Amino acid sequence: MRRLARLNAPAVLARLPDFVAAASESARAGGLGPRKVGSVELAVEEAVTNICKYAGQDQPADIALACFADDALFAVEISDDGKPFDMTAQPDPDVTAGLEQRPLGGLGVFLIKKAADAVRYERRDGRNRLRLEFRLPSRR
Amino acid sequence: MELTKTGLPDGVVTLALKGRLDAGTSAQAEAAIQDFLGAGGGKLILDLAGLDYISSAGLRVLLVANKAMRRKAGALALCGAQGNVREVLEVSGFTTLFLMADTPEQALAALRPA
Repeated sequence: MRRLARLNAPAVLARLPDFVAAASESARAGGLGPRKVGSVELAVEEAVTNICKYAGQDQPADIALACFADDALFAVEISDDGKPFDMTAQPDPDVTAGLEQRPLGGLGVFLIKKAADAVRYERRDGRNRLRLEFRLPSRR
Repeated sequence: MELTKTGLPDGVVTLALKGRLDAGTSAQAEAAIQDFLGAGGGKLILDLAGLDYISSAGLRVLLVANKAMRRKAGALALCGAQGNVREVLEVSGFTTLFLMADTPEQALAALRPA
């Protein structure tokens, strides 16, 4: 796959727009249509927000984002050196619960799983490594 | 994000949201809804026709508003959601938690007592 973008920055919410913009521009350059670009922005916003809010310990975690594409796939890899967190192991929220039973949080991870066509996670070399894949439209 | 507030007959207020309702703009929307609730509440229509992006931060604002309206015996309707915004509302189950309408006029009719 060819690399389209790379961005390293501390996990602070003030930098969230930079991560979203880098992924969004790459998604367009990689050949995704507008709806799918929106899905990329959503997945990246949710993933980076979670890292900013929960991964840091004494100081904000370090985030490295990279985007790749080939003829069939667009992929965003987001790694951080914060607390281990495997979002793929999180149970889905009950989206059929009534208003009173609905917690205010917990939808971010669910939206990542829904927005991306595939989500992979591994903890390696002291970093959380999340890979979000989006299928490109077929060229037939 | 742009917010436009319009007063309708019978004390109904429409708040039109344009642009993106995300981690960066959700506080602005929440403040506008809190203003409405602080002014006594009542019936509120959130017009999402101009909204082209919503994340969980935006969903949270909608959910907080819905719960607050329920407590205050007010009423809230969403209208005009389309594209990715509609899709996110659907997968999150929000289309069954909220009164949904296509247009502000339909939302107004749905909020009127029969």
